[in-house]
Amino acid sequence: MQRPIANSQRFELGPRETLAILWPYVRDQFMEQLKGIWFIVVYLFLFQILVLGLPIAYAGMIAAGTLVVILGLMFFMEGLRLGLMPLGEVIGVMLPRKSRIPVILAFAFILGIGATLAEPAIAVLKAAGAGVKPAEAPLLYSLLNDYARQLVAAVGVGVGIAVTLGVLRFLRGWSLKYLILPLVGTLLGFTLWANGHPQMRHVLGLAWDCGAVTTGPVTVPLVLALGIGVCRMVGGSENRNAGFGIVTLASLFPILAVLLLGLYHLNAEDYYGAAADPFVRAQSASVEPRRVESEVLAFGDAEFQTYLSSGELPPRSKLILRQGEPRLVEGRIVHSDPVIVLEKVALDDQILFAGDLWDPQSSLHQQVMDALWSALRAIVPLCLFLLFTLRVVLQEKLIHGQEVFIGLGFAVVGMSLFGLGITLGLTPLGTQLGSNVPATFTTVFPWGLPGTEGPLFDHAFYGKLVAVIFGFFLGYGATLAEPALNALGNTVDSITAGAFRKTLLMHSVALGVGLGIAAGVYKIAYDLPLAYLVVPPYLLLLGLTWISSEEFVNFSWDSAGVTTGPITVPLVLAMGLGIGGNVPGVVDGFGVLALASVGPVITVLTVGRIVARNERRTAPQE
Amino acid sequence: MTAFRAIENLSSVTAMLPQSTAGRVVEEVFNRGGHGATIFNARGTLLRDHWIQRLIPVMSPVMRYVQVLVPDDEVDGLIEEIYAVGGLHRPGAGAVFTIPCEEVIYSTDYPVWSPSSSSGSNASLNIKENLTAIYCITGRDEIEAISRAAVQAGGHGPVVQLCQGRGLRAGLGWLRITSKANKEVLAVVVDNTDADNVFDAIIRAGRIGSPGRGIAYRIPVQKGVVNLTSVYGHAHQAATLEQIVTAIDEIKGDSHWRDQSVIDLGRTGKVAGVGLAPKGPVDLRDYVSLICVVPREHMDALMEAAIQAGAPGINVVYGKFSETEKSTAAGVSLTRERGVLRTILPRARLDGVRRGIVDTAELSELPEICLYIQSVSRVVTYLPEVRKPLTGVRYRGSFVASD
Repeated sequence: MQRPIANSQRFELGPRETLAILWPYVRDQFMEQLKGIWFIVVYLFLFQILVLGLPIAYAGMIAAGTLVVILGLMFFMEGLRLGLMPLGEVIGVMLPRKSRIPVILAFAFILGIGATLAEPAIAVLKAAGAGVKPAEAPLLYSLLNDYARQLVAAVGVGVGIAVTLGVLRFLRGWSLKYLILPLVGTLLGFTLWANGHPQMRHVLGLAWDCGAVTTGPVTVPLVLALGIGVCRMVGGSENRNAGFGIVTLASLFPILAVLLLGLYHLNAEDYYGAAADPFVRAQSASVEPRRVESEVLAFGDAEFQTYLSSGELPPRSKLILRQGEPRLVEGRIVHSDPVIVLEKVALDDQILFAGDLWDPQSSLHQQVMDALWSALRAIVPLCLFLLFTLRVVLQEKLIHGQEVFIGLGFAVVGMSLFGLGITLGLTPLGTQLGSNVPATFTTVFPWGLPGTEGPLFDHAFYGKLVAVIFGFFLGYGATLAEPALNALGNTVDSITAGAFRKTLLMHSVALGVGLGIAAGVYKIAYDLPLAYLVVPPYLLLLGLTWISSEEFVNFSWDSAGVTTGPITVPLVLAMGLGIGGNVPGVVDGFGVLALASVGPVITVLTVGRIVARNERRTAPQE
Repeated sequence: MTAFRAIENLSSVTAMLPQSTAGRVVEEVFNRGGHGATIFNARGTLLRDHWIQRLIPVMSPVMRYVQVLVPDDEVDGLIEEIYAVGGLHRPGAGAVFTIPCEEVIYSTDYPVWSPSSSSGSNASLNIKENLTAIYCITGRDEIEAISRAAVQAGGHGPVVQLCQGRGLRAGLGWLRITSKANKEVLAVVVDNTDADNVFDAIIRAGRIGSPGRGIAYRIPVQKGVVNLTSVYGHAHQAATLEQIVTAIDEIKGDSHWRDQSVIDLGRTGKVAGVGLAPKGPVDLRDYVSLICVVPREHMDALMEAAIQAGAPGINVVYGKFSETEKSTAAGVSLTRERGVLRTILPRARLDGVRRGIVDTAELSELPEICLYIQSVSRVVTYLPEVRKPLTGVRYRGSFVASD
C-alpha cells in the first residue's frame, strides 16, 4: 500500500552537476584520510634520512603505495559507513526482536569464527614466527608450523565464544567489569605459571599477540555495529552498555585458547623433538634457518639456475663450511664431510642514493591480484552470511538496499587498494626502517641497500634509547591511521552524542600504543621476559578497571583490541624482528603487540578518571 | 488503517538533564500519569576560561534530553516535580521548560497523556515565565563556535544533539551516498532579555543564512527553569558565575532581579533597570515548527512523504521511548525507538505537509504516530528560491523572516 511517489522531487542531473556534487565529497574524504596518514609516512621518511642518514630504498614505489593507501582508506571508510556498519546494525536490531536466544547466540558464534578466518592479519603471525629456531623453542615452532591450522581454529573458536558471550552480556545486561576481571586474572595467573615453564614461556608471546591480531578492520566495525544494534533494542533507557565490549572479549579469549592449545600439545608431547613427535624431520635442518636481511643479500632463482648450469660460483659470494672436520694434512686444510653454504656478500662501498625507485623483484600484477583476493575473502563471505541471516532467518528487507550495496562495493574496492598500498608502500617503508633502526646501537646491513651502517652511538645504551623513542612515535603515528580505530572513534562519538570526541579517543589511544611499543622495543633490546612487562601493566589495569565507570571500561578495553590492525602490525613486527635479530639471545619478535594493546587501555581509562574528576568538580553541588 | 485523532490543550515539556537524574525524572513522569517519554542522548557544553585548561581536550558532559507531551493542566505540577526530583535549584543541574502545542494529531495507538480532571498545582517562584528557546541546526564543525558565541552572549549551557538532515539530497538517486548524518541541533533556553543577543550571536557565529549553513529559529517558552553549567571554573576561582547568580537568587527569593539588565535600544543607546525587558517578541505566526514522533523503523517512509509534500528541509533525531508497559521478546525487555522529525515551514505549506504525512501513515498503516505544531517566532535560514517576496529583510540572498 505505498503511495505513488511523484517524481517532482527527483532532480535530473547532468554530468557537470554530478561532478559538482561528487567533488567536495571526494575532496573531504581524501583530506580526512590524508590527515590520518601523513604523520607516520613523513615521520618514517625523515627518521631514515635525517637520523639514520640512509637514503630511502624504492622511494617511488613507497610514494605510489602511500597514495594508494589513502585512496583505499577513502573507499573503505565510506564502505564501512554506508555498507558494513548499517548491515551489522540492522541485524543487531532485528535479532532480538525476531528470534530466540539460541538463534542469536548461534549467529554470534558463527560470525565470530567467520570473522577470524577472514582476517588477513592472522597470516602475519606466521611471518613473525619465521625466525623461531626449533631447537630453542620447540613447542612454539610446532604450533606455528605443524599445528598452524589448529592454531587458527583455536583463535576462531576463541573469537566465536567471545562474540557469543558479548551478545549474551547485552541481552542480560551484565557488566563488562565482572567478565574482564576474572578473565584477565586467569590469563595473568596462566602467564606467570607459563613463564616459569621452559616450553610454555615461548608460547606466551604468540598467545598474547594472537589476541591483539584477531580484531581487524572488517571484524571490529561489524562487531561494533552488531553490538550497537542489539543495545539499541534491549535494556532500559539507562542502559550503559551502549554496544561496546565484544571487541575486548574477542581479544582476550583467543589468548586463553592459544595457551590451552599449547598446554594440550605440551601434555600430548607431540611437538618438535618431544617423545611422541609424529613428524619426520628432514636432517637438512642442520643449516639453521637464516632470516633474510634483505633481498640484496640473497641469491635469487636466476642466479641459482646460472650456478647449476655453469657450475661457477656466482660473483660476490662467500663460501662457508659448516660441520664436518677440518684437519691439517701435509700443508693443506682438509675439511671432510662439510655442509657447504654459499652466501652473497654485500659490496663495501656506500652508495648515497638508492638506485631503484621500484623494487625490481616485486610483481605489480601479482600484488594487485593478491590484494583483491584477500579483500574479497575478508568481506564477501561475511557479507553473504549477514545478508543470508537478514533475508532467510529474519525475513527482513534492507531499507536502503542501494546504498548498502554501493557501500559493500566501496568496502571491497577500498580493502583491495588498501592492501595493495600497504604491500607497495607501508611494508617496504616499515621493513626498511625496522631493520635499519638497530643501526643506532649496532652494525647492520641496511635493508635494500648495499654496504653496512652504524652504530650511530658509541654507547649501546643511547642507541637503544633512540630505538625506544623511535618505537613510541611509530606506534603513535601508525595508530592514528588505523581504520578500525577510526570506525571505533566515529561510533563512540555518535553514541555519546559528541561528548567523547573522536580526536580525544584517537589521541589517547595513540599515546597508549606509543608507550606500549616503546616498552616492547625496550623488552626486545634488553631481552626481558614478556611476563615481567605484561603482568605489572595488567595488574595496574585491573585496579583502574575496578574504579572506573562502566562506559569507560567498555570503550577503553575495546580500543585496546582495535589498535593492532593492518597498518600497525607489519610496521611493529618488522621493527620487532629487526631489533630482535640484532640482539643476541632473542628467540622471537613476539610480545610487542601485546604491550601495544595494554597501553591504550591504561591511557583511555586514565583520561576517563581525569574527566570524571573534572565532572565531579563541576557537577551540581548539594 | 491507521486512524487519527486530534487533541487540544497539550504542551510539550522538555527536560535537559545530566545522565544521573534523567532516570528518576522519567519515573516521576510515569508516577504522575504519563504513559511514555522520549529520551535522547545529548551533550552539554563546556568552555574553558583558563588557558591551560584549553590545552587539555574537552569532554563535554553526557546529558539526556527528555520530551513528554503533557496536558496543559498537568504542566505546572510536572515542572514543579521535575524541579524537585532533578534538584534543579542546584547550579548545573539541568533545565526544564514547556512549549504549548497549537495542535496535536495522533494515531489512536499512540500513548497520549489525556487531560484528567485533577487540577494541577500552581507554579512557584522558582519557575520563570519570560524565556525563549533557541534552536540552531547546522553542521558539526560549526557547533563549537556557535556554542561559544551563544554562551558569551548570555545563553546558559547550550545542549547539543546529533541529528540527520534531510531534504535536498534525498532526490539525488545514487548520489545520496554523499549525504552524511553529521548535523547537530543546538538548543539553548535564555531569558527573553537575552534572546535577541543570543540569537544574533548564533546567526553571526554560524553564518546561518548563507547557503548550506542550516537554520536557526526561536520558540517562545511558556515557563521553565534553566540551570545549566557552561564554563569550567579555574580551580582557584571561588565560584562560577552560575553559583553566584544562584546564591543571589536564593537571597532574594526569586530570580526577577535578573530582569535588571542592560537593554540595547538600537541607535538610541542602552538603558539599564528593572523590568525593562520587552515582554517577548510579537509572534508573526508566519512560520511553524511541525514535529512528528514515529517509531524509528517507519521514519524513512515519513521523511519521504514530508519531502514529497513540500517540506523545505527536515531534521531527524533518534531516541529511546521509555514506557510504563514494556514489550518483551526472547526473554528480554525491548526498547522502542522513536524518531523525531522536525521541519520548520511557512504556515502556508503546513496543511499540505501535514496531509502528506497523515495520508502516508494511513495508507501504509504506520503505528504510533504523533504530530504536533508549535509556532515559531523567528526563523533565519537560506532560502534557495523565494517564490514571492515576504515581509522581511533580504541581505545578500539570505532571507530573514523577522518580527
